Amino acid sequence: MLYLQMAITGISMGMLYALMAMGLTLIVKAVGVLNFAHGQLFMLGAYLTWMLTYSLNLPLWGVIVCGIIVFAICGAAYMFSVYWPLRNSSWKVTVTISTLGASIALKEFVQIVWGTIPLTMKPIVNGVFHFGTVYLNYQYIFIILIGGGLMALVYILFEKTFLGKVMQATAQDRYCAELIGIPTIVSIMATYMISMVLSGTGGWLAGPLFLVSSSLGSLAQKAFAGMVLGGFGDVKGAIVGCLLIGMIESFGLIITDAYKDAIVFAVLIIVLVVRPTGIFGEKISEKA
Amino acid sequence: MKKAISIILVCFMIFGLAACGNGGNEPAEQGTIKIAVIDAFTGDKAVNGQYSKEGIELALAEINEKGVLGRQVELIYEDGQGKETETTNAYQKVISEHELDAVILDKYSSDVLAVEQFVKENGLPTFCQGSSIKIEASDTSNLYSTRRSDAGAGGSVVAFIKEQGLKKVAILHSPDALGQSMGQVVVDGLTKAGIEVVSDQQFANEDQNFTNYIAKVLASGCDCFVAIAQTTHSAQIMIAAQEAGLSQGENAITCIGNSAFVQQSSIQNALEASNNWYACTAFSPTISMEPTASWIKKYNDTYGRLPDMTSACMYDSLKMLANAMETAGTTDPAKVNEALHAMTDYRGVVASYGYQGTPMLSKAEYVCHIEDQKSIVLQIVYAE
Repeated sequence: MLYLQMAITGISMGMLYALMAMGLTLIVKAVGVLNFAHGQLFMLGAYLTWMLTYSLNLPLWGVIVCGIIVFAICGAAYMFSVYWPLRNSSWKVTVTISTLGASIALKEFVQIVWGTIPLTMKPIVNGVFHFGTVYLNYQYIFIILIGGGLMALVYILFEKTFLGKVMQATAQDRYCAELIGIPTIVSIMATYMISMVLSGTGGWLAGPLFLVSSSLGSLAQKAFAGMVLGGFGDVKGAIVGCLLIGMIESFGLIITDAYKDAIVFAVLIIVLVVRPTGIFGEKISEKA
Repeated sequence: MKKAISIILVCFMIFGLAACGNGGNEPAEQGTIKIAVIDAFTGDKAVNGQYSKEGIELALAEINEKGVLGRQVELIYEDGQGKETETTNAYQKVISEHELDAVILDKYSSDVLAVEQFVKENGLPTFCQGSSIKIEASDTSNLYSTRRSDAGAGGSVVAFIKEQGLKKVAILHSPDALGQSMGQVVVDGLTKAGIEVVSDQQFANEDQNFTNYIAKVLASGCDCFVAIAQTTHSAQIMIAAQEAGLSQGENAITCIGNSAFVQQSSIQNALEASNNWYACTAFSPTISMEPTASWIKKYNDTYGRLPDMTSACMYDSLKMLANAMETAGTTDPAKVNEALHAMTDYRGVVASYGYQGTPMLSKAEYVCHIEDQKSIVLQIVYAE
């Protein structure tokens, strides 16, 4: 029964990592920048939904609607402040360093605005499921459902809609996309907005379980690992990689508690040694 | 003539050097008394820095009403973020930039141990709020802590478990100096007492999800759960324990934590999940003894909230330093250290303090029980 609990929490954690990794991958594909502030965008999402829920006292539907709008605005603002002014820098690493700076700034920003004491958030779905020695907060199941739903939406957006195709075209070759009249600035902005919506929703889902604090951003380490494990730059790979990371992290506790994170990263290293491009690496090279 | 000029020049040089000597000493005994305060003012542990600042500012206001040796005390804050590297950098920076009279460090033993060698080298009276056994074993004679060591707190936890007649204990502890040292003391103490340790887990610093750790505790069949963590994790552990029915409900068992579990910041976050937990702590905001009760009221009136352990420890640190300077009649580090070594019974808001041959000055701690989100003092444990 313990294994069942570990499996569900593992998938649930994997979903949270996947929401972050999907956003990360979309940005990597769109502008070729690894966003080191992604964990902090996740954290910002938790703080913003806390504000919508407890400061503005919005009902759940209001939190969802306003949350998506606020996340999208934040995504656009983030792009125009961290990426856009530095996009033509002669040193390609400049934007990456800018994201590092943004991660520190965002962490301090939330502490200035909301204080240093972690904030408590009630679970979106209240209650705990008990079966023998197994217990599970319903929020974990809710995370799996919402995470899965968002993944399906992202798939539909990119594979079935015109906007998705425009974004894919921009990601594949920005110069050609501009030549055929695609407004790449809008396309890139949309990518950042979707990325922030995904991460912000992750923060909203994680807040009730882990408290809303500046340390929420540290979950991004595993999202990075999942993204690399699945295949750098591949959305499907990022999802599978993150779910694997979640499961390894969860079941690793059976072998060792103190070094369970070491197991996660040891698996990552082994996979990279065997398949340097990650699990879905071949597909990436085929695409390229 | 040449001889006379030489004598005059030599005389000038002697007087000049003498004047320089006075000039070198006097400014150090004039102006403000500078004390550096290094704590986590930004980053994940900034909540502690905020409580620290509130506590120490309260002491500063009281001290500066009369002054120390006719001088005002000035605090120089430096951010160590509660991390070893940043604390070391902050310490080096503040030492090189200011002519300090004393230093006060945060409550993270790992940070204190990281700068210990520098503390020893410069000889400045240095207070900290760390409780690691390594701090207790330190031979740095100018280092002082307002806490009892983890060995003492761990011993109190073991004594409480024995007293309750519990037989199977599961332990979950942090990976830092606190968790490692206190966890080991508890395991050793329980083994010695013939109490079985059915599960001994260590979580990672980055952990946010404690569900699986608690599931393992539940599966171990224990009748007592001991958790040792910093305030950043204690609330999350209490929430996970409540969800599992470990601390509350029909199948609840005895749950015991270290001081972090009864601090205001933890209770505020865990809310009703904090109920029914026991904890061994240096300080509780519900202490009804004087002068602690009056101080808690004053703090609450000033800041509109109850103090944390770190607020009280910081308050006591500054007050003890000021007292030692008055006793020594100087801010000379060696003399202030002598005065602190001679201190036998200083009544602070946390406890009575006295130098007992180790940096740990506190003579007592409390066993508390959380009821209706308030920590109630059950008993006082005095240092042997």
